[in-house]
Amino acid sequence: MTRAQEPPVSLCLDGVDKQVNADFRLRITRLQVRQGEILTLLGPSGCGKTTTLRLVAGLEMPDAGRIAVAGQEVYGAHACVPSEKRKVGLVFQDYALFPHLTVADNIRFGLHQYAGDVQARVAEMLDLTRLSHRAQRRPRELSGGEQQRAALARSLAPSPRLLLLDEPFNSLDAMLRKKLRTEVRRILRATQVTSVLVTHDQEEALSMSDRVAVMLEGAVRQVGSPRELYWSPVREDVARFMGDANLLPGEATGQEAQCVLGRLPIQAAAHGAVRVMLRPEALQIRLGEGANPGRVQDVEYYGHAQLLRVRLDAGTELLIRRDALQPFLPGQRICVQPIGVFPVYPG
Amino acid sequence: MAPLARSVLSRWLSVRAGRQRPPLPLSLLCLALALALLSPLGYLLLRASEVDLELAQDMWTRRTAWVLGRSLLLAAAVNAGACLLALPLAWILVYADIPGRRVWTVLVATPLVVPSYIGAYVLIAMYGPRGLLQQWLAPWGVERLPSLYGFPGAFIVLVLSTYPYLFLGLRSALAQVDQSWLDASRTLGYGLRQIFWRILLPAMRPALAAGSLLVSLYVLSDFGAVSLLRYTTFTRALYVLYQSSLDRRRAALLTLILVGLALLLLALERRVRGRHRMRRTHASGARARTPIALGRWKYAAYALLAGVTFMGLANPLLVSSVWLFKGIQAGEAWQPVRQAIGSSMYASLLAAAVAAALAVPLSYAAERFSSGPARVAVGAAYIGFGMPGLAVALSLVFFGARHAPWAYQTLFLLTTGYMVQFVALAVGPVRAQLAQLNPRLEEAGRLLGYGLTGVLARVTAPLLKGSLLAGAALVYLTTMKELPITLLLAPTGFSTLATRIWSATEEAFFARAAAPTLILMLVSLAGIAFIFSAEEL
Repeated sequence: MTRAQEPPVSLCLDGVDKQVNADFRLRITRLQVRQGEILTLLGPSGCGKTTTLRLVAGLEMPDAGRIAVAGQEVYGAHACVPSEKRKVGLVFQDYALFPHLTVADNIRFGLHQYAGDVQARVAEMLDLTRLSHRAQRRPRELSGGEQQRAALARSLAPSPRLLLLDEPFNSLDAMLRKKLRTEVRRILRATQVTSVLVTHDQEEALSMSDRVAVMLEGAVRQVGSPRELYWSPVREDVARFMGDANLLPGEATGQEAQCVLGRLPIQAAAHGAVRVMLRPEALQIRLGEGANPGRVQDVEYYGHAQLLRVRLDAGTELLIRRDALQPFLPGQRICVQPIGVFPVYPG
Repeated sequence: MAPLARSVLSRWLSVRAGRQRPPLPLSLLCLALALALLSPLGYLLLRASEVDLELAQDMWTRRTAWVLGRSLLLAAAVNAGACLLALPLAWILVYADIPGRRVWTVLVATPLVVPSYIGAYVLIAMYGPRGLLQQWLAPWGVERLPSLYGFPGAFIVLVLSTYPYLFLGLRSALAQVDQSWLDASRTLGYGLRQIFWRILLPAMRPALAAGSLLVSLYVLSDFGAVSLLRYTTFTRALYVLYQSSLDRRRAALLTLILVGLALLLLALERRVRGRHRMRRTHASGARARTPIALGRWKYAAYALLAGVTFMGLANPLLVSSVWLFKGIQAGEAWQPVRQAIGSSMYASLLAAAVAAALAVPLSYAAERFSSGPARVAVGAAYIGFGMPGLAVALSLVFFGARHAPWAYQTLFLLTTGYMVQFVALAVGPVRAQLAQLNPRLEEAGRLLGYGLTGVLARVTAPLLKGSLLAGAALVYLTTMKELPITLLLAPTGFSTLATRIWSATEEAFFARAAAPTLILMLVSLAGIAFIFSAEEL
């Protein structure tokens, strides 16, 4: 895609800096969210994701930097817009539905400056989130999933320029989580609202978003499509955080690196000592003898897949993920074949 | 406005919204409130500091020590008496196989709300030398009953007013003892008596300590009962000094000693309550308790329950009803009673409304911004609550008479006195509920386009309604029963139910005190019913 075709930027953080407490500091040199996309801030707990959301919402103020929403500077040298004037929606982790109001009144709460037909808008939101039959209920009478959708409807009702979702699925059980992910994605797509979602769950980030921003230790380490982040992490800590990784020491010479699995093509030209990153899915495995021989040490069986721990005769241990069709047993002789082009990191 | 100035201003305003600094008006309000609430104590300190060493030595006479000794003696005796009542009551109502334990518990706890001057009135009007009992015994030639004035009367009245504090604490401590501990002790060969010493007593120790500190505080601060029964303690001596002497420095110093003692007890009580509790070590719910069969002791238990309920509840109702009847027969005027009801309600409603109005901003500032002035003001409210009412009243009298004659003997100074003593009653529940209220709710309100005041009005206040109402009701009820502040600070001729009971008893017009007593009893019972029903919600 060329620059000219790119949609406008809905959220821009520039040099945002905040001392959160004595030993934690948040620094975001640059982060842009394009109009209509779903961007996920992914990171372990305590990496500053939620603080970032609260800075964007205006619930906390940075020590320095600039924040712009839909081109309007909401925090910076010339402006400091209070949260109630930012037109930014936020779905709280615990939903924060008003317990003294019904679902419909919760949705109506943010429509006090709405130009159109408020009643129709409430009905539309109830319909969108499939809560019409719960309109007159109080929040405590709703199930967890319904509360979550009600909170979403309330935030979406005033048509915010940007919607923030703070760990939206955290307080739900695993089954409901999956269902709601699909549901929330449908709603966000239907309204075409620009969304920033915060989570610590890699699977959730990869499956829900158009782009993912990985945050580690208070800084954004990499922004990219889910595919990019999984297969081409630019740093070793990102690679490890995104999922299981085999990191093999090797010697790079230009477009190739020599390691225990032979000469492998690498993603960026490098020279000298490196570590080659191979995902467990990028290793083919076959029973019997051949190149890169080894022995199965251990099998974790997941139903839809299996994770093998393999020890090469050369002494290296590898993680290999395969579909579950062919059974493997500890002790079997196997040989390993890497497939693809791999990222490398300084050794 | 220049763009730069506007940007600076807007930044200041929104940093404030980011919960780092409370809005200026709120800070100023809290600061003013802190000053007002601390003014009695501050003024006492100021006046006492004028006392030179010579005068101080002169004051520390044998008589001062003697009065202090009498106060402490009374406190110790009342503690012992209250313990002897509360311990068996608590044990019976938690462990014994007595039917209707819930009802008995409420009946036994209710005297908590009967003010001590009513207890004194009841004692004098019933068992005094010329009381009801003597009148009933007159046909048998009983001319005069032995006097109860002095120590015995003060002791009986104060035991009856204070044992509920101990009882409630001991009862909840006993109720928290896990049945499995008792079962375990049984299997290890312990009998009932050994279980009491080895298990129950250690479990009750914190409640016992905290309870007796509360009882001591009550006795030390009590003004109504000791004055009516003419037992000279610190408070009564102070009152007499205030009425007879013009040297305010002396009175200020003595008041300060009283306040110091009270605050010391209060601080001790908080420390004791805070630490060292026997807890269940596993999370699962406690097993149901096996009631202990009392056998023949059952009759003793019933006698105790009935006796305590009679003395604490039935007796006041009986005495005031009979005297009311006698008064009506004798043609006692109704007009002053109606007036007293009006004044009582007016003053209490005013106090409740002001306390509720102050509690919201104060709690909000303390809880959401943890602002310095607000925390000082909340601390001052608790100190004021712990100060003996007479001390609050005297310090405001000294202050008003000398520095604010325009406020002296006005409703303004009276309400100030009530606030110093009782605003904590409204701040407590409001702050507790605010602390439980998810701050995200307020943030959600802001993100949906409302400013600070909009959120306060539309989100916070509706959610605080319950505690606000409870706090105001508590202030209303407590103010209505209050004696020393009303007595000393009320405008001339402003007679409330409490002051009417006081003056009628002092002059032995028992029939005149009957109607106000009955009304106050009923109001107090309604109040405790309200509090019990609110707790069940």
